[in-house]
Amino acid sequence: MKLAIAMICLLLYSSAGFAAVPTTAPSPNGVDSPARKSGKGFFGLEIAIAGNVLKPGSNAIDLTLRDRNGKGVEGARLSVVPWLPEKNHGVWEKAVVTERGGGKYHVENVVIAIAGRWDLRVSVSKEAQEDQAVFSFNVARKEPVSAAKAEKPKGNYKRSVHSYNIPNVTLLNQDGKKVNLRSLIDSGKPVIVDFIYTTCNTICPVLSASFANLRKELGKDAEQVQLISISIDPEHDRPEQMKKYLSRFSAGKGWDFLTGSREDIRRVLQALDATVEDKMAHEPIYLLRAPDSEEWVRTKGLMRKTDLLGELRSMDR
Amino acid sequence: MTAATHLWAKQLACSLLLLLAMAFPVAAGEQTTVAGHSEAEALCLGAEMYRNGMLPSGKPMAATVQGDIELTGTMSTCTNCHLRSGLGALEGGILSPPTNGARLYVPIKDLLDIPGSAMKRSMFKGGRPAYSRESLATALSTGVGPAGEQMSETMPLYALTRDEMEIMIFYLEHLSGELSPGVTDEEIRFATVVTEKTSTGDKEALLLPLNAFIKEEWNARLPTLNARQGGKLPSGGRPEARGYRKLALDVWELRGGPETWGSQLEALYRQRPVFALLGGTAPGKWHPVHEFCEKNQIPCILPDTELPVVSENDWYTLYFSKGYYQEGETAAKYLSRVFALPPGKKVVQLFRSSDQGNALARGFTDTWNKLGDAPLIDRPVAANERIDPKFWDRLASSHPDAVLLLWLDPSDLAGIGTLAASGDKPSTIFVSATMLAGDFKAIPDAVRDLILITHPTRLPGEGEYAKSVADGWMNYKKITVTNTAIAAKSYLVTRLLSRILTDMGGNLYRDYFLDIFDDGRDETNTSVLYPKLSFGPGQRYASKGCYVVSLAKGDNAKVVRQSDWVLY
Repeated sequence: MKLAIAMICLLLYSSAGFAAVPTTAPSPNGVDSPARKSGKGFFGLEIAIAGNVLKPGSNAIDLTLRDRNGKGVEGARLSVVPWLPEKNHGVWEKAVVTERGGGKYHVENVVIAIAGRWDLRVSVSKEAQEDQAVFSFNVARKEPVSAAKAEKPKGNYKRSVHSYNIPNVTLLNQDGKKVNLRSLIDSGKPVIVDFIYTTCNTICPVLSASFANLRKELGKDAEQVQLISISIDPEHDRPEQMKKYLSRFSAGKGWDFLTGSREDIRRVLQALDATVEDKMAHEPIYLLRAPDSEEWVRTKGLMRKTDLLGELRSMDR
Repeated sequence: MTAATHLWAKQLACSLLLLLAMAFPVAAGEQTTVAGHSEAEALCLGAEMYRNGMLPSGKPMAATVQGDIELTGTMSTCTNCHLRSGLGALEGGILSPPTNGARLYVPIKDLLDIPGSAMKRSMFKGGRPAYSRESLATALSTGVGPAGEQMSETMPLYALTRDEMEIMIFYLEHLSGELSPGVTDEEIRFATVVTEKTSTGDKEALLLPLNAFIKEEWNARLPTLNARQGGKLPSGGRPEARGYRKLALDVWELRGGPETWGSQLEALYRQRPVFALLGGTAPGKWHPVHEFCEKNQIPCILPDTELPVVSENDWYTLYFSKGYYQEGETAAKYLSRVFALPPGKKVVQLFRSSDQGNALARGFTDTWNKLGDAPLIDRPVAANERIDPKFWDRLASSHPDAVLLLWLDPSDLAGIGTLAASGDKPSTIFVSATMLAGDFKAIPDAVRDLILITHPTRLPGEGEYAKSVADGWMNYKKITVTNTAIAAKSYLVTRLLSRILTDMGGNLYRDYFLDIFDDGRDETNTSVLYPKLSFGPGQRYASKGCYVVSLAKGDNAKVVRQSDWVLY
């Protein structure tokens, strides 16, 4: 995935603890290098952020950790805590760190609650060496439905463009097989995601009928598009129920229905901005993504088949 | 759906609908047919179309939705949006208006003509004139409404022959056309089932909360409730609607063996029909009551039983959980999906031929047959077979290092400590918390390292908030009970009823009663016993989970959680 370096101001951090966060105002737009040494000088840290900037909501960042000789540090323990110094509080959500090898660490679920100045407090420990660094950011207000990219409504649905950080969760499909959501999305095919449940009344059968029609229209190319239905009623929707549901729509290879623990599903819905207060109150949403793209097209409202097909084909350009 | 199950569903629907048909006899001497079928047959065929999307020819209905999406009767049916009762739903921001018999041929004028919650009514815009048979057929096939307006594209356009259309319309005319039995202009009558063996304490735990709700919260408040509505109760537009009605509760006490309960229930019902059954408690299987309710299409709401009928298609009884069966299921899921058994491991299931033992064993076996790898060995324990130390020794030596499922009660498990002493001790032992009646201290320290327990309710110390709210309510109503578990279930029924009766208004149709339960939100703070109860169309077991726990050694027998609430 392409990663761009963001508007970052790295502030050196003393070893006195987090209470003494420097008060220097952050530079507005990526003036400083995103690579600096940690407080005691044990480590060099470099930060990269997906989608260029930290935004309100869940973010993913990549950190590269080097020792004094510039060699990647493996096996370090990292924690990343988003902190709002002005209010002197953090967030409920915990960031999740995954080591990627060669000193690279991927951090997900870096949750920013509101716009304003935020610190990312990074603690590093490797054997006896413990050190910290703070990265400060100005987080801009969330754009109202991506003003620049919002397009005129087509038909009866609304369309907008977003970028999402897909959480690294393993869910269960209709065959009871474990499926890593990120791997499924990165399978190299165009992807369409929707959110349904097997006992849903009005909108799910229409969303699913639309998937079925799309596959029929694509004929032998149907498997070249990955359809992903994510359950919003994971406690009831077990593989057996999901398989039965899919069979009503003559689904086959290339259409996965995923369920999982309440917590994993919650993370997925949150990351894709599809959280529902209650399953009865959900909305007809499709998320479409071209292979290797960072942009997701989000449609809201029940669509015609031709509109969905049009959205899919426009990704091929 | 296979041809066989389809036929079965069809027969069931038909036999049920014959009863429905009997509620609307044609005028004496008048013999009418519908598209060449008797009225009863037409109702059967109509139900097949409305509920199952199947045409009289046995083919799925064909429709277009959203302008260009092909929809078949297997993908979605009328029931999906307009509900089984025909009173309509609000889902995903889309309001499906009522299409029941009582509403078709009268105009929908304002919010109060839309059945359901205030939220649902608030989504209603505009109105429509009364349908005629002709305009209804036009709407179903072309999407042009009775005022000549284009209806939403979310309403499918159906390709139906003239005969099929006639049957469909006939069905709609009779769907929730008359209020259900058990309802008079002044009153809704319910019943609750107990048996002669139910102790006084258990009866009190069941009845005191129900009666407190009925008398103090509903009946005493009726004048205020009705005045607030200004006489305009959401009523389904029936001119004879009288506002919210008084509630009455009969106690049906069954005597003798369960095989006689069915006829007793029929007699009690004939004597004084009721709208629905609330709660209830009986030893042993709930089957007789379940079957009575299915047959007569009477909702039965959340009875206190661990031995429900486990069925995918039955409609009228809503249970708290699958009871013992669910514990067996959980053990199988844990062993296959959480704790991957090494190859060659044996799983041995011991149970007596009691209702409890059989239900646990069936729950395990049904699930293990789908998910498990290792062979399952059933070891039934005969009624006269004594379980002594030798029994455990023999068991251990014939199945060394096996997983043992001991679906046995505490008296059978008394000598279980012997197992740990054996050189061939088992690797894991599963027992059921419900069968142990929560008496975990009875499990000797010696085997605690080996023991896993299926635990289908909240863990000790969980749910303090729910408990404090329920206790507060009971104190306020001056209710003291000895069986707190039954009282907690009864209390939950009253909380759900309070909302559902308000939302039903004057639309007192049994199918709608269940439709509204199905539309309920998750209950996480109302149930003292379960971490979460959830509902959905056709979902009939509200508690979906069961923990697997282990026991710490020592006098406290501390419960240690080993699994999530829901296992997949």
